Amino acid sequence: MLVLIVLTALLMAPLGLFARHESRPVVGWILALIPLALFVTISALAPTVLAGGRVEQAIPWVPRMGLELRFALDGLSLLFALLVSGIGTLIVLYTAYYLAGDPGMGRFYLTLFIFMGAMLGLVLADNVLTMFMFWELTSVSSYLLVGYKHDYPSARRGAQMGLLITVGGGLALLVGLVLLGNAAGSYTISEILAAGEQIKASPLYTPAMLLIFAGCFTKSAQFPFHFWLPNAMQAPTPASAYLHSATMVKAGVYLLARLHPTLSDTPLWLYTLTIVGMTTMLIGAVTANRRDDIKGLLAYSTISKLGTMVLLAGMGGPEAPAALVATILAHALYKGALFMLAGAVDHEAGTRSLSQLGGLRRAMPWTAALAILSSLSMAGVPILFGFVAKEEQLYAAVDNGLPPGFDILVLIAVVTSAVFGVLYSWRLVSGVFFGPRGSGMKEHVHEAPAGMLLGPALLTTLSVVLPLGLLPATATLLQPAVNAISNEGAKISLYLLPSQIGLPLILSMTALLIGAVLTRFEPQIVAAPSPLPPWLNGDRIYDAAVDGVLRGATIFTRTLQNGKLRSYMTWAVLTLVVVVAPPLALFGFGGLALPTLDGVEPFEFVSALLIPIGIVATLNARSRLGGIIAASFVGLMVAFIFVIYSAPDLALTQLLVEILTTVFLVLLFAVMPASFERLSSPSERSRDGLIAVVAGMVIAGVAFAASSVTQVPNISAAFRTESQSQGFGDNVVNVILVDFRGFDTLGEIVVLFTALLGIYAMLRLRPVADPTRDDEETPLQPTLPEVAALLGNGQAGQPAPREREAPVAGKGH
Amino acid sequence: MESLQIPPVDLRLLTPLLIVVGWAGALLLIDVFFVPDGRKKITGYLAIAGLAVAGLAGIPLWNLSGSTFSGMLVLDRYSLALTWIFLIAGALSIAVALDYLPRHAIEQGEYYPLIMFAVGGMILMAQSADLITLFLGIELLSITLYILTGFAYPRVASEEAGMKYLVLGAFAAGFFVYGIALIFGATGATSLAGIAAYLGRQPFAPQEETLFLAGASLVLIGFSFKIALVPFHMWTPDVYEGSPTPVAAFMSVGTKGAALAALLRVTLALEEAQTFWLPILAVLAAATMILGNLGALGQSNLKRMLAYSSIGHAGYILLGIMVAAERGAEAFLFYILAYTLTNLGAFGVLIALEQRGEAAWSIDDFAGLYQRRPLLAVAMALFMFSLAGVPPTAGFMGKFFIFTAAYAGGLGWLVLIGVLTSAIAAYYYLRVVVKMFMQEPVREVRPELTRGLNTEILIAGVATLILGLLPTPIVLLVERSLVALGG
Repeated sequence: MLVLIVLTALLMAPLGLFARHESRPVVGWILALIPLALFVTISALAPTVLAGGRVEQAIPWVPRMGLELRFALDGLSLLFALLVSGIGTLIVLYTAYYLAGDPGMGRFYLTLFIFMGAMLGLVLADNVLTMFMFWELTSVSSYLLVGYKHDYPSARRGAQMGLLITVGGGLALLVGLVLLGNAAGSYTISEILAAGEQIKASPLYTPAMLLIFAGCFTKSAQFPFHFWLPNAMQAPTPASAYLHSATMVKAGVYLLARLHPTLSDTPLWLYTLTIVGMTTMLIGAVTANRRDDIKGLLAYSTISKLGTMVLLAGMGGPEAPAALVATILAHALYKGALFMLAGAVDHEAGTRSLSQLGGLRRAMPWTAALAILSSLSMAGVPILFGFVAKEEQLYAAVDNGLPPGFDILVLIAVVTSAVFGVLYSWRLVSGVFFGPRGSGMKEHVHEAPAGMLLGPALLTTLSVVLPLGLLPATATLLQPAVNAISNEGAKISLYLLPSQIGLPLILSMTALLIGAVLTRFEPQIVAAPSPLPPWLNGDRIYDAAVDGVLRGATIFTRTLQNGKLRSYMTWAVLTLVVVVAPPLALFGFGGLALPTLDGVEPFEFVSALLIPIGIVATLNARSRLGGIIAASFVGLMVAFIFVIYSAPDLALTQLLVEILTTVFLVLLFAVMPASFERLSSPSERSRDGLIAVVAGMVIAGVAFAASSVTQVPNISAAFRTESQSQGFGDNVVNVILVDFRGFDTLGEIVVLFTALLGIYAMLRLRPVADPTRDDEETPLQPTLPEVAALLGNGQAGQPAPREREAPVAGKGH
Repeated sequence: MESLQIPPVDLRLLTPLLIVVGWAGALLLIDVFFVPDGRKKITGYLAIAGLAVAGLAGIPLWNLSGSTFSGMLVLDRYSLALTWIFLIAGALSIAVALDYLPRHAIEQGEYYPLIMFAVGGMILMAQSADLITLFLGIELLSITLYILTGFAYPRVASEEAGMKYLVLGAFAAGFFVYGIALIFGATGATSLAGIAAYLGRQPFAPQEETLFLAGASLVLIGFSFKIALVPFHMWTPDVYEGSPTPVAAFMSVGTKGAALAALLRVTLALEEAQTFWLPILAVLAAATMILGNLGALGQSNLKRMLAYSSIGHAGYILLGIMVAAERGAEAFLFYILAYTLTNLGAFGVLIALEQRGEAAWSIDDFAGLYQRRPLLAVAMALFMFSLAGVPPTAGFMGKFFIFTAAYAGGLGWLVLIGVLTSAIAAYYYLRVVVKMFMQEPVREVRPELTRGLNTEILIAGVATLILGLLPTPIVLLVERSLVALGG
């Protein structure tokens, strides 16, 4: 059943393509049946979970690698699955109106359903690797959703930023999860949780947790990765409402909550999460008040709330799990509604800027009413569900079980963020719906279509109605989720007004009061300098990092990959030296018998000396002919040495080859310029010379080493004795060639013959320049000098310089 | 010397190799005498048929194993599995060339037999249990590729590529042979079994050790050239860019795969020399992963980008080879298969966009591809996701297998580098996806999809998905194919 739920969303996704720009909203209503059906199905499973049970399903996938499609539904996943499918239904409806007339609507629906399936898979997965797959799928599909309006560079940048950060974090997460699985001996989440003590004792615990935190923090927009979320606000509003408030950004929180029961009570967990969560909460709350764009304001307030959730997941205390669950629900209700309403305002008024909006309560009374109620819930004003959740947060913060001193700090931070929460809620409502009519709005602003208001209305109603008599029922529904998070059997008890007036209530009221007072100073607060130093601007750091990596890569490529063959050869020879020299130095010279000069005849000495002279002459030759002559001189001297060591046949071969090569070279050089071009500077030449000398010495060293090892018995004696009796010949070489190794000789002849055929074929097939064709398609015939220059310089002599290295690719695509 | 002993030869074990090489030779003649100019596609179809027959002929060998030619060539399931992968790579490379060659006015019937010879060289490498036969395989493959690289003859870039590849390849061959000679000098053997046996008799004299280590280093350098490991990778981008695209596609998976497959066998044979061999491999792998991916980052020419990306992938594969004795060999085979199919698919899309006279390799030419050819764009996105290692694609599975095997084998820090460089890689792969889906066309590029190309992209795409979604049958096959490769 669980597999079916996930697959349904994914497989039904192509149905989204039926929505076309000319189609009427009814298509949206039909499409909304898919998530609705999922919602109903999941609800049908709820009684089992409420009764304390679990729904499980597993399909083996790659059993050998521990990969398994294992799904489980417990309280926590039930809460998330209901949110994903429930709010998903409303979003699908909303989209039908919001994107009406947009040609890309079908594509949007397609991606939205894929995202929905991925998100359901993520929260239902009971195997960390399965979960990771869906985790990455949410990143990729959200990327497509954010970049939906791809004509805008800012949309592309926002999409890319979100993707890079969440996918990068995802990789960290993968490593962390694999480490976790190794420590636990299983990749199944329930088994990992059961092995909690074993994991905490393992040395892998710290690295695994830090990597998992990195994944969660990037996904849930925690400081210092939070900056991608405001940039992702370029997404169409339905996507923002769905991904960036209700579902995807909570995935990190979900995973933390999931691992909470048995992996949490360590200093690492406690301090990392509380400090990061607290920082994010405060930065988000303060920055939300500095935003002019209403979606930006909502994004930062979301960051703040996500920080609160991470803080709650991090700190101990009996109340924290209940507060976390209540906050998740409350936030999904009011923030989902507010995003959709912000979209409605944008849709009708044509702007999202607070400075250009104003006085919309008359033109859009219903939108105004819903937004005011949801904002009140966001501010935590009594009798709304936001208030109930805030009470829970304060309860948890008061009784947080943190070390003395730190506990007060956390409490102050929570109250401070509540104060700022009041302020930004007020800014939103007053700036959009009250005051004088905004300057930058469309001429005639109408109320949004009813279909667009349906979703927000439903969510707002829940925010209002839940506290009015439904709190015990809600608590019952949320209790399984609390059970799944808590390690010590925490109970959730939601109440509208406490039986006695305690510290939390006092703090809550104080926060409301201070917030109300602060509204008088709104202009000053909006203009106040950023709480963060300018260099700690995530946007800028991101840009600098992306630019820096690209520029570094380009410089590296330019330097190493210059297209010159000789430079490639230099690197190859250098590496040869680096690799071969150490074994030679380490083991070799100790046991090597270096040759002595005893018994070296004078003429041997002379010929050995003449060879280097020939080499130097070759290198310094000014003309090609001189170079050829000097080079062949070297060859002749080698032949002479063979003669000295009484190897006439070798000497003859060497001589013949030498002559033949010289003739070829002279023939070839006849069509080339007579003198050399200096392609390198003197310093480059001396560097290359040094490399050559060192490489030569290394190879000579290897040769010495080789001559001092006799592993294999010498076979020449055997040939000498056998050639007469077996081969009936006096010349051993002849006998080897035609008899002992006769087949080899045959093979060589065949090879030579084949090569001859090949050369003939090449000559015959060589296309002849056709004088009758002079259109631009006539192939370019490289001339020999061009080819020669190519060999020397790689680039010189080409008809047109080709782009070697790419320019630094601009950011934002 | 007694009478000459001709070693027993069991040609059965070489059936696929003999079919490929024999048919290639015959096809050269058939092409010249029976296939008229302008209808050279017939030769291509015949070549594909030959490769298919060779593949089918391999099936009865699955339960056979043994060695022949005095143990110089072996047949085991490992070599057979690789043979099939190489045959697929060859067939797909021919399929994309069927229309590419005439479109670019370089249609010569020899192209197809040459690819077959190259495949023969690759199979020979996979079956080699001796450094000499291995060298033969490498040369059969390389010499063929020198010709193929310069196949777009009048194009200077193609000639430059051929020349560069030839010179550096000759260099590498020299290193390799010199290395074999030194190893033989030290150990008295060129066969992998003989070398392994010698290494098992430690300790040995310092001179021998010097000689062996120097020789092994040289052999490794020779391998590094063929696999394009940093710092012997520099020819790759230039050569890929210059050569005809189907050839570049074939090289990116073929040479690399075969050389890596042989390196795996050598690594297993050098088990006793691990303390020397593995650190070098580790440095090479780290440098290759980092510099390969960094190099790809700055490219706006997609052909060069894929060249760098292929360098980076070789680094990942090296991790599997380093832990081959454990689970690495399985991961290696899976990765090779996944990478071969994905990369051939990506090159197929590149070929579709390439037109005569001008090459549409700039990343800007991919802008807005989704609007014009939605299916082609989706396929390319799939390949990019797979190369980046995003689930649920073949590439993800391959990376996952490799990294887990390497991690279990104690290569934690290399896995870390692998994961980090994968993150870098995601950037440049996904940039292509952004271009295709989210930008308007910059200039008019009319992709030409022909039957051969369509088939190739379809096969590669479906395989990439299946390997990612349902890898179990392949994993089982891979697992079985390594039963005999105990090391």
